[in-house]
Amino acid sequence: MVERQIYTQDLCLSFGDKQVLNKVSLDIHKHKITALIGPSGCGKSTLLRCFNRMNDLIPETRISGEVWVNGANIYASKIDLSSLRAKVGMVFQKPNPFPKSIFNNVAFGLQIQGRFSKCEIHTRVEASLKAAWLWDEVKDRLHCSAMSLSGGQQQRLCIARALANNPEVLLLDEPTSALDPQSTAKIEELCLDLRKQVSILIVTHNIAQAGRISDYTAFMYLGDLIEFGSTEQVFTVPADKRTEAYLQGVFG
Amino acid sequence: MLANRIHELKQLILSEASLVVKMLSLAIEGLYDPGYAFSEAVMTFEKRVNQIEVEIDNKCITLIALQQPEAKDLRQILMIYRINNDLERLGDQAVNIAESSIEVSGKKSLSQVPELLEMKKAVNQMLRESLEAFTNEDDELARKVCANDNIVDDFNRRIISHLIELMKKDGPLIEEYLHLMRIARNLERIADLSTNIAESTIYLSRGKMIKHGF
Repeated sequence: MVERQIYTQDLCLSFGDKQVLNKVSLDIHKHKITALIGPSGCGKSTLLRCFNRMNDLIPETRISGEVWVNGANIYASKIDLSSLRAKVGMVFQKPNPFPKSIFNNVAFGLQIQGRFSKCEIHTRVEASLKAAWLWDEVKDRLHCSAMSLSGGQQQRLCIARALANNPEVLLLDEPTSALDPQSTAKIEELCLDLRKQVSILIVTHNIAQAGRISDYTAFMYLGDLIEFGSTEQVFTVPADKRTEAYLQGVFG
Repeated sequence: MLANRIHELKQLILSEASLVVKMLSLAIEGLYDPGYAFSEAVMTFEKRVNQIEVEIDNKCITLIALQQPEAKDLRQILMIYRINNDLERLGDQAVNIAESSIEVSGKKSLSQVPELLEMKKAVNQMLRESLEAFTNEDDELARKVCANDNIVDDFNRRIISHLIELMKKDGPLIEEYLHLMRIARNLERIADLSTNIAESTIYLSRGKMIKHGF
């Protein structure tokens, strides 16, 4: 039985007059990889950003409907945004390490919480870098600048940074679109490996990537959730003609 | 990731192949050993082969749709898909032989067509060698299998003309002769399907399509 970790109920979102999400109701299963696909501007990144309330930062954003993460309505008042964003980590399209050392990039989130001893921070940094398959490549230069890493390594560092907070969900917004095929393959394999400890939501323009790594696929179009199902089902016999056309490259 | 899945697929098709080989041996053994109860086992194996066929079909479709295999990975999946189809047909041929074996097992007519025993040996060898070639991606052995198809075709022609002679002479046994003809025809089809498997193996290992003399 698959357990749902996140679900949305009639989620609508608009930026000013522009309606971006239209009554989206979606279940995200625990410890699975869910891919959000659809043409540019369909609202998939906006939907992703709803899950840790990143859209709150954009002026004139109006949201209605519900988003539940681990049984809590995250748009209710009294929600602690820092702890929400620690639980729901995010990695962006372009690797964005802090201009700090490799070690401090991962340790930073833990340090500012002020509740971990130095020893604990060291242990967690090492565990996170190992989980992000970066440890062996950086263990001898932890105090070098993160900017000295390659793009693929920087992206894995960003994943390690998110993992340091022991998140339950990882949101990945086109995490490999700025990377070469080899680094992409590594991130994809890493996602499959991380699935045992976190639920992963990935927005991707790379349909092949969604096919390769996701368990479930959601297809969005013009702010509507058109189809959601197991990736196997959606990629072989999609229920909606628009999904079929998008997968075949006919539009989008 | 993809390599592991293809490996699993190959294991599955090899288990399907071993069931088909077993079905054929049972059907032929039953032909020459009248007391041998084999038909139930053949039918049970056929059901299992059909199940595996559907399972492999689905897995191949899923792998192609989700993993975008290229080069050898793609050839492997396509050939497994094709060989899977051949194996299911081979299972059906074995069932046909089993049905006719029951009718003529231990009867006089069988001893009148000694060539059938030779043909059976040749076909059995072709099937086994085609599967061995596929397992080891041995294109030399696969070419040998293709070359042997003519030998089996000759057997088939000879047996059919022999049976026609016998039918002319001994009318009351015509039903038995027709069953023997069916067995020979099905053995010939098994040789054809083994040749298909060998051709697929050559495409798999060399990327060369050698069907129909191309």
